[in-house]
Amino acid sequence: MGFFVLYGVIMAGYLGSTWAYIRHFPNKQVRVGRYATGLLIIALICHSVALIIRSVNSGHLPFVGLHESMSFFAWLIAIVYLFLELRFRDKSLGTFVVPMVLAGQIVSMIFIHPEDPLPPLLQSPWFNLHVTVSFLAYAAFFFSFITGLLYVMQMYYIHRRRVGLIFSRLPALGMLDEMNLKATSIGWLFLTIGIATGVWWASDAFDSITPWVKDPKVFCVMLTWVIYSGQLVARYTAGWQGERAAYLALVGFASVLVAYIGAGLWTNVHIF
Amino acid sequence: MHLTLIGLSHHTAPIDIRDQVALTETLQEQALALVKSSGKILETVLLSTCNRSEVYAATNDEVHDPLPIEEWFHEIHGLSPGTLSPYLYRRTNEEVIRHLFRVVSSLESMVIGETQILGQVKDAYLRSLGVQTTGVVLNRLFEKALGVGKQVRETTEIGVGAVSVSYVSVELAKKIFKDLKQHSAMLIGAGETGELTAQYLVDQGIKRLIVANRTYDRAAEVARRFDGIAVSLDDGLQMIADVDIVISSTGAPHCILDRDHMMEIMRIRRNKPIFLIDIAVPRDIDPQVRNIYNAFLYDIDDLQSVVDDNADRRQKEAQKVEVIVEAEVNQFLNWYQSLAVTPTITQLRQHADTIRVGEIERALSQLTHLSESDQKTVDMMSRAIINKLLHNPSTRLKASTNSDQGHHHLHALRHLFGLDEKDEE
Repeated sequence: MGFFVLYGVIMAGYLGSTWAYIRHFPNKQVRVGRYATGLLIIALICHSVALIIRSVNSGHLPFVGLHESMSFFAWLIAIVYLFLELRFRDKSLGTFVVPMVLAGQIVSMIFIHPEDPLPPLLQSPWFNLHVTVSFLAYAAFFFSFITGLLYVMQMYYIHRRRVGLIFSRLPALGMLDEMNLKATSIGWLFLTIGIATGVWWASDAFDSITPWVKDPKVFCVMLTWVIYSGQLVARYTAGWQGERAAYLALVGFASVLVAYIGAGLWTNVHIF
Repeated sequence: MHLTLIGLSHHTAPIDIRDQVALTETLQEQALALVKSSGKILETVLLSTCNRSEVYAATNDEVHDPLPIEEWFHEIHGLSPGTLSPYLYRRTNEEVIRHLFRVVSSLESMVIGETQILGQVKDAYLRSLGVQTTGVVLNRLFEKALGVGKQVRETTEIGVGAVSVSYVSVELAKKIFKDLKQHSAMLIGAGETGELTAQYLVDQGIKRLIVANRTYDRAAEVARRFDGIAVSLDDGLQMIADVDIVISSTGAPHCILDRDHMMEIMRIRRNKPIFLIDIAVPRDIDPQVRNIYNAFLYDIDDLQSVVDDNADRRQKEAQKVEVIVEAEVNQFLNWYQSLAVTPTITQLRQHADTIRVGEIERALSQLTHLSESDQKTVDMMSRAIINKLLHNPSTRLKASTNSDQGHHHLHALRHLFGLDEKDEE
């Protein structure tokens, strides 16, 4: 019963917050903005409680299975966004981020199931470190994706001479590009650590390298790493800042999604 | 109680007249002090901007007489009476409320949707509040007006999108670069629009402005005004790679910046974004430049089409604003009209009489043994009680209308006897 109430409040909070952020975008009404942030904070508090309860009951961090990982990912995005909003005092990103958080939470609720015990293979001190840094990388790449997407949108409006309402509410290209660079760099760093710990752990856990090298998820993650590395290198050497970097951020995130969801469906090593 | 407005604006007076009546802040405060000491006008707010000079006044005369206000208006500008009369508009009561609400909503402004006026009205009101020339009526009117102005800007798109070529350029620059303070600009050639754009960029705190001109002396003259650096046209063209914004408005008959030159510049800049504003006719910059990566080129037609779009949108939004203004005027009128003294006293007496008649009928129905003359006496007594009870409140309320306390008394009376609640029923 308490479970339903808690998840109900989380969903209602994210839903209300999404609605308020969308309403806030065109006119920047202060009152609507306060509702947006307030509801987001309420939802986040309940969400944190829900994740803690689940972790305590299952005895492991909430990373196992699509329900837990998706819900944790939504929570991570929301908390990073809240930090950015309070830090930069700008709510325009929220119009694009918070609906994604809502979507993530909805998807996680579709796949909800009772707590799984941690498979013996993953019962290792490496597990928490490897998975935590991987999630941080994904969260950073999500913001790289959002800023890239908004860059492409703003670019479209400027090129097409359609400088109306949306143009005036979106952040400046220079700002988006800078945020994109930061998000991509942080994501790349965490992904690199995630891969390194994964390799280390795998060489500990398996006698030969074949079981995990053949894993499609490993392949997808490697591809992701190559794309983001390429974006960062091209920025500095070929002057690919701006639009091209933004497009690469979109491609990179598509690869993240494939690695995260797609590859998860046909792997037996990475069960999340 | 009368609300009066006297004023002139760009709608009624030419610029040289408006220049004469634009008062500095000190002069405005002196003018308000003057009106306060004269005691002729109960409440006053003076609104003085470069396009508008208005007096909002509340008076307590039985008959509406704008003459003292008009005289004072001339006096504070040091003009002999009647000089400004042909340019003045005069409004009373409901029209004053509507006018002020339209002014704060920028519907009366030269450029519809401009945002300055709201701040100007606020300053004017606070100044009058500071020297205590406002009271119940104007306080409520101006606070309501500021609320209307805010609501209009928050709920409509009246202020979205710049409506001049130079301001559109600056808006674009602000959406291309994160912080203009970290970028520098170059103005090539001279001309009003180009210089105005440069001025706006300087106002935004641009890091550095370079002015290039075919004749160096002309460049030096313009550069001095903006605290910029003057260079010759050839030097300027060599330096484009170092700046992030270029405003070009030369009288050259052909392009001064072609595609190959721009490709070379972008190579040197390592594709750092550059914003090129070409306001020259014929064009200074080869239109093909717009296909180069990270080169943002806007020519005069592009800018003009943005201006037109924005002006159209503001015009459409103005209709929504009119609806808001009208609703707010009606709401304010409800309160304002309740301020009249005579209707209030009539209402109070009716209220008392209704109670009296009800109670007398009830009592007499039980006192059937009374003779007709006794019944009359009882009835007379009830009338006398009411008359004596209401005598002082009525006469004192009438007497106080000419004092500062008048509105407070009126308000208190209406509240204590629940006269407004009765209205709503």
